[in-house]
Amino acid sequence: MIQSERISVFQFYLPIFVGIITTGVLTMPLVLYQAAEQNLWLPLIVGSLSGYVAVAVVSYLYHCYPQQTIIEILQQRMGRVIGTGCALLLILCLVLQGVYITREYQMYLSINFYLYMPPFILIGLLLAVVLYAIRQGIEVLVRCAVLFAPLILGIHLLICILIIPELSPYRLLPLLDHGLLAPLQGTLAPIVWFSQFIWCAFYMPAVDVPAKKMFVSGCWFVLATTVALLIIFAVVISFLGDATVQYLYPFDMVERYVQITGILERSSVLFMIVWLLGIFVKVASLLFILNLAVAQTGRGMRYRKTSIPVTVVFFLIVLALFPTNESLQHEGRLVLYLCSVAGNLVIPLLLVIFLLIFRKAKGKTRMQS
Amino acid sequence: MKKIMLFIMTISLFALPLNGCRDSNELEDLALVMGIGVDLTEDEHPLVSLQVFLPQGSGQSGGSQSQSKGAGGANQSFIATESGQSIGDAVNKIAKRMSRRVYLSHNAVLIISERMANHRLREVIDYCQRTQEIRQRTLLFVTREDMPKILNYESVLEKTSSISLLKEEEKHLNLITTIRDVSLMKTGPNKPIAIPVIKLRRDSYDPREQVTKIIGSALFTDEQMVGMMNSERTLGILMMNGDFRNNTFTFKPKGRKGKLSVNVQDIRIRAVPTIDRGSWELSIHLSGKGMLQENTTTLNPMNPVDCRQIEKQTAKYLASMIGKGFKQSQCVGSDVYMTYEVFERSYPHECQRARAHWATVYPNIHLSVHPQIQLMHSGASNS
Amino acid sequence: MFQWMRKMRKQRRKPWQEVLVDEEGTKKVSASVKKNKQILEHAYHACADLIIRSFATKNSVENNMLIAYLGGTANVEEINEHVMKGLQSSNRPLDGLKALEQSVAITDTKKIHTFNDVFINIADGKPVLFAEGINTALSLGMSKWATRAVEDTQTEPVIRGAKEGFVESMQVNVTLLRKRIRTPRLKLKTLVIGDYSRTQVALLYIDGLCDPELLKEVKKRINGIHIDGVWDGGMVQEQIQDNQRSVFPQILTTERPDVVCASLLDGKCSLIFEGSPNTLILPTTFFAFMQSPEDYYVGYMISSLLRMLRFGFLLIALLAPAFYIAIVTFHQEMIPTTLIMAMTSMREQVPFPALVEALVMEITFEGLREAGVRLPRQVGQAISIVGALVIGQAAIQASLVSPAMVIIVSITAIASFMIPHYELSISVRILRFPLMIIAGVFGLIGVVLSVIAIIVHLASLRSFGLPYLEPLAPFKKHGAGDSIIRRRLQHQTIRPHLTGKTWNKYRRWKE
Repeated sequence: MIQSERISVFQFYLPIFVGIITTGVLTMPLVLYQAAEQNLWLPLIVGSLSGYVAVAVVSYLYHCYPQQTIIEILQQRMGRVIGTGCALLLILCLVLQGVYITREYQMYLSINFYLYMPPFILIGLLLAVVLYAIRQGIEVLVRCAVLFAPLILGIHLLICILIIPELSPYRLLPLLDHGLLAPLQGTLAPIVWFSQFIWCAFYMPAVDVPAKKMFVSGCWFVLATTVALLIIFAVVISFLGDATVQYLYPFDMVERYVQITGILERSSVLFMIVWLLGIFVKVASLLFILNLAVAQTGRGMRYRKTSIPVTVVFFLIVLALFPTNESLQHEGRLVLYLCSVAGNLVIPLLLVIFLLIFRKAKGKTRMQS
Repeated sequence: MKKIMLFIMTISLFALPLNGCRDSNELEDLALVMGIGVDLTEDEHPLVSLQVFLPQGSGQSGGSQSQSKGAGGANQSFIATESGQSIGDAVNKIAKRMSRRVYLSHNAVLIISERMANHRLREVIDYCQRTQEIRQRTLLFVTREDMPKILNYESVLEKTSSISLLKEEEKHLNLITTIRDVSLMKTGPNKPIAIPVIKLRRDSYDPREQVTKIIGSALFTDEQMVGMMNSERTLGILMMNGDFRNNTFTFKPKGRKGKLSVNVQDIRIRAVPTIDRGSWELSIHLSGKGMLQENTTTLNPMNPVDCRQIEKQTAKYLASMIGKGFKQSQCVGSDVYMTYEVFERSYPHECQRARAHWATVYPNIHLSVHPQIQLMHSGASNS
Repeated sequence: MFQWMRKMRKQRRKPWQEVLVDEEGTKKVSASVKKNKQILEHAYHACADLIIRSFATKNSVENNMLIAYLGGTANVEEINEHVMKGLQSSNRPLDGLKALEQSVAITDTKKIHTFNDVFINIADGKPVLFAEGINTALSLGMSKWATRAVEDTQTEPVIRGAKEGFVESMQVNVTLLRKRIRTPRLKLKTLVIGDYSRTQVALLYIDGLCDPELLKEVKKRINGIHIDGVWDGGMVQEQIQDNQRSVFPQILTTERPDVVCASLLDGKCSLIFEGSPNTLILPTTFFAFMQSPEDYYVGYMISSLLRMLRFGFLLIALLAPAFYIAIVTFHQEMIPTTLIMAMTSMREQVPFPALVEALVMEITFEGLREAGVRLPRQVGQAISIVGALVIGQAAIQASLVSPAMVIIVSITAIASFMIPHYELSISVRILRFPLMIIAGVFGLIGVVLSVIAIIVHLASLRSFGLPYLEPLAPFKKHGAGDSIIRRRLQHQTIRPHLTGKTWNKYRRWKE
């Protein structure tokens, strides 16, 4: 299925970009501020290196096997047993990352808007729409991302502009008051977030570009993500300063404080709307690749046929894990970090190293599938 | 499309009995809280008064045993009061006896009695930050008055007293403290907070009505009220924090008869901190613009010499105003001028060391103000 | 290219002729006039409007000629003038087909050999002439159908631009197009749909601009239709569009020749139906439904603003009641304090929850609108006044609805009239109702997720292979200048690339 669809390289990276911005804006300021205070730009920039690594891995895999997804490459090049094992591990990591993201969405809504609505309805609603979307295929998904991206970025920008009268940029100072190393303790969070660019490797065959172009535009996307997050974090810190740590969702606070001509305030619901658009893109692309990975791991399974069982099982897993905010913030985050590092960085990097050796041993003969 | 429709239909059908709509409330089932007052009872329990909006169509419904002044009049609100173990408990008690859901999202002001402010501001701030319904822009006030009385006074112009307080704040003539401001100020060492103080005052010429008046600001250290600063000195805080818009200052120039009224605006502040062998110094370079509004002295603003004189006198007045306020805050040890932040930007390491014992450092900071006022014009008069 | 569309469209088409006439149709035209007459009379028995006239030429004794046509479809004066007179007074012997053709003073004649074709031509209003001794009949192109004169369009009026609209005659409609595009590259192929109605359909396109694959696909889909009769393009549209279950129309319908011409020059093709003023344009994107032909006739700034306004009101038409319900029942913090105080006082007297109130009002309004369409024109005015009064004034005074609700309903109604094309407007009206229910149950999250589902659906639609949201998603740089905004015409130099490999890139004559 994935081989018959065609998307451009811009659309290829866009869902990941939108997803990182959406979830990053909500939870990252708090995590980063706890570690690095006003110097959080440093861990963010250092952490974004993992994005470049991920893009490089994707581009290299694409360079070697442009017609295969990472799951297929794993299974065909690393032997049946090891390959399938690695694929299953990847799927597990994807599921757990997805659980964290979905729970994060539900917590945000439960805390801020729907105090009494049962979580399974909130999660079920999102997953129902996501299920409908992923059955339409990757082309439709990225088209939605193309439509939503300007809206999401536009509203975030609008909030940043409207809050300008309340900002005090001096809160960004002093620079590096604890030295260079202390802020770097917070690098793990951005590494985890940026490593999500590896998700592109799960739908590589849908694009048709030279690998070099893919790498270059991927780097531009990582850079754009970094810059967008930097701007938003700068706004958050200039607004809240040291009080950033007092709030669970600092950017939401910024948004809540916006006032347009004294009438339109408390418009945080508008922020919720664009945030929902973003989380939809993120969860949909994640479930899409999860589903595709499952379909490809179990050979001969049809993508459309697995979509419903995969979504339902995912739904049940989400309901079972991290029911409270406390568990989400501690165990959930630990699991997220572990799975992201293992699934998004370690396994793909191992695959790349393996391929480098393997291909060298085979000489210069190009393997074409 | 059929799938969407099917999906929508099934979801709707199943959801209706599943009460997904637990969060929904019809407008007429809400008791809109316009203002909250927090007092302390004799036995040290928080006493919460809610000013609830009384819709005009609704006659007698709503809280029954409230001290309502009667619907139909100009005042469209009534007060519900209850005490409890904590603020949340008290609010819950009110909610139980009210026929409608207590809705705090439209609350505009939060008035804290002096008794509560003296020791237990913490509880109030914690409740406000935790409760999602309470807005970040909610204005905070401290008062010495009886709580229901100040919430229940009838405003001539506005629907409720809360709204009149809200509008008064919009003029930017006084200190404005919102919940977000408090959470920002809380981050400093010693947790210095400044909250305006209001007082009920009988209007001398309109015997019907009373007005609330802001008489100064309460200063807090470690979330305990330690002192009060008068209205004029509060303007110094505003100037230092960059919230000052404009105000008319009236003073008597030195060595002259009569008085000058100068409207000062467009104040810009540059703070230069220096730490020199253990002595902390802060010099403030203040520049602003002035407009002469009234002149009963012999000084002629059209005369360059006299004009410089007026500028100098204004500057001096402002400097003394800021200086006095600063002194007062130093006496009580409440760093509402946010000097710590200023120092931290230039001397991060010294400040981190001083943070723990800031209470001893702050009173010894030496402040020097270098004001510069430029008289833009002196009105339409040519003399 | 059209792989994804070739879903088992079965090729079980039979030629229409076999269905229409069973026996006579297969017969050959005979050389004997009498025999021909018998066959005709047999086939057209109980057809009082068939006129069969046998007559004799000047130098013949017996009736050696036969002319047959359906009364009212042919131009009788011309038959009398150019056929009867000439033949009856002609001295030349009619020995052979050539002599017969020459003695008839008409340009459009056609030789016919089978009765199949005889019936077709008679049905088309063309008189058929038989002659003794010649086993070929001659159809005379003298049809004359009663038709409406070309008038202003009622459904798509514009302030600036051509006023004339299509009528119920295909020939006139094609003329209106030929008047605007004067090049032999404007091609026209006729197809026939409807086993009994035998409706003629003209497939118009411009050679070199339109993708031949597209034409093939259109023909294939039309040939796959089996239906007794077709009275309007809508009946065909439903059966040839890609997603037949979708609420959204995937083929543009218009009554305006200028719209058709502009689309033809974009490389699209058009279907004109005999007997219907509505033509179909395909492939079509969502944005075509949001554009009025006037956009190109007024300044680009004005039309860009108008288009944005239309999109804004499209959202209002779809979402205003849902948002109102969601905000009033779930997110009251969004309403400004002064307004919520007023609204609470207003709603004190209303007995229904906001959802019921909104549903009742919207359904009433839809009823009023439908009634307004059905009622005779004179009564329609009265009904709208009564409706406005009943809903606007009395309902509020009777405390059935709150004034705010009336405002929402009116704004929604106005907004739905701002959508230039009726079909999209209906889709939006339908979708409004499930959205309202969801808003009442789940609040804004339900509304947002439903809107996402709708957008996913829109993104998954294709119109003859062309993605429905084309210039925006997938994003096309050149097309985007003519979607939500309209760029200046001199900057729109690149033709949209629709489907297939044929893409005449530049909007100018190029060999």
